[in-house]
Amino acid sequence: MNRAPHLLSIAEAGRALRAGRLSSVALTRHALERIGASNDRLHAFILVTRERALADASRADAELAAGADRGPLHGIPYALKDIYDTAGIATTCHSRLRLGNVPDADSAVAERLQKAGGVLLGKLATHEFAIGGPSFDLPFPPARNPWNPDHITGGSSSGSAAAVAAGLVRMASGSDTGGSIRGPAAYCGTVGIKPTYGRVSRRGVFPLSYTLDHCGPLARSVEDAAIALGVMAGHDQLDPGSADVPVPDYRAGLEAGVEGLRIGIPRAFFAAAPALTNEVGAAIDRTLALLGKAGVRVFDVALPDYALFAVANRVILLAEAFAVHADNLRRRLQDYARNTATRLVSGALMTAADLVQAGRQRRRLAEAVNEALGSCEVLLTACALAPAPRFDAPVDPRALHSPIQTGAFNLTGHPAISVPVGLSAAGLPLSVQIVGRAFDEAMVLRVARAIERLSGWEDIALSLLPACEG
Amino acid sequence: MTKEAGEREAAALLGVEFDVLIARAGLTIPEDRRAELLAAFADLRAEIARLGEALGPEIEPAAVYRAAGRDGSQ
Repeated sequence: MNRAPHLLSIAEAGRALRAGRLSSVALTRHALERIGASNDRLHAFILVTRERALADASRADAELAAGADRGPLHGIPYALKDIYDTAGIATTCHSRLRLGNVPDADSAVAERLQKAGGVLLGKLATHEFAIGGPSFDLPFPPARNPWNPDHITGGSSSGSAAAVAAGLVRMASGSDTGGSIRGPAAYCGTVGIKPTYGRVSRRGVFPLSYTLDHCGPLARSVEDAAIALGVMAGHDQLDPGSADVPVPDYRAGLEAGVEGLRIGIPRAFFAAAPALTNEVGAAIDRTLALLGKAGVRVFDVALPDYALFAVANRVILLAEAFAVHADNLRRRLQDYARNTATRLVSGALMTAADLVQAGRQRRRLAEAVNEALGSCEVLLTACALAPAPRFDAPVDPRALHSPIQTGAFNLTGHPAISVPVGLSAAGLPLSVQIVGRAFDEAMVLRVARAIERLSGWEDIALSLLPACEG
Repeated sequence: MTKEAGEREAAALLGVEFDVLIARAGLTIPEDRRAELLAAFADLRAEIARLGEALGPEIEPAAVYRAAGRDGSQ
């Protein structure tokens, strides 16, 4: 084995494990060393579960040696955003209010990853309750962007994106209510997929907004994401939002290419957005040109004004989040980070009619996206409108997110992925977003894989790793 | 009423509405946080106004569910 273990994709590591060229214990020890060397600088992990990881890895090795193979994640290290319950392991939501909370049971995703033979390395930083942040008035510091620690990771799956980008882990769980997987993925140069609503169980994941929350992976490559999603996805009778729709093999069509596909561009979404930077606009144009050369038919599609999607998402999110947090906001307001509290309290300031009106718009907007997807296989649009801001850049504490255009597809439930396509002049990742038809994550991943290959991102991503050695 | 006076009155009414909603929710907002939250409320009201465009009565909320299939099957 010539390459360092963290440079191996999940599939490559899996082949090495099965061929006896690598052990899960060695892979895990290597990951633990990298975490130890970088966590003081990046703060990606809130908790490193060293003993659990080594026990998981030993078991994985023993099972493989005995001929018991649990599938593509067998023996592969992963980490969980700290809003995913883990039996016997603290789950804090990065909040003072949940310090000391040790769940009795695993979340559905944690359960699936363990059954798949994965190795749990630990719990990852998040924006508080998946809505605040980045905040410095919490029990744990915010995660920092591995490309430049003076810059934010985006959120709320902040530690997940930092850990994957820094090569500490190939995949991590995230959650996405308005862009909390895709935003940090875009800022940190990882792949992040928000599957269709109901595709991955939310059971045991602390809720932000019941009808907008989506669980999914952040991963180092599209193939890694396909493998991770394949394990995470599936019907769960105990999640009332779970969809009973068969999960295909997401790797099967990954390399099918894009020739002959149709990609719709909702250009009005991003082209007129004041926050759109020239670099992101140029990255989108470059990607479209590459896809055109690869035989894709690219054309503009019309969708309602993005602002309408954003407002409906915001109203529903804030109303549902307030319902979750109302009791604690009444009794322990000061225990929340200041910007978390500002956002959550806003949910008390709207009327029942506002929420119903947002729900009516939601149906109309979802139908508009369905109609646009009737003329093409996927949409391609902006994800983050600018590279990751600096920590000391002015922040509006009332804003739910940095300038990203992701919440539209939480509102409509369509699958969407952020895929990196290059670096800004300042050396920060740039990305695009691919949106697909409901439950057609396979097509979203296939197009994303083509973009990954055409943009040469995997080589670009490697340039970061030497700086993450400690 | 001058434009400035109208704006002052609107701001005062917004403040009253804010205080009522906060009280109705059972929240206690420290005085040093009120201005920030009131500004958030003003933003939110302006944004929510966008949702108020005329929608036909046939447009039902997305949360309307179907207890059985279209043909009555479960």
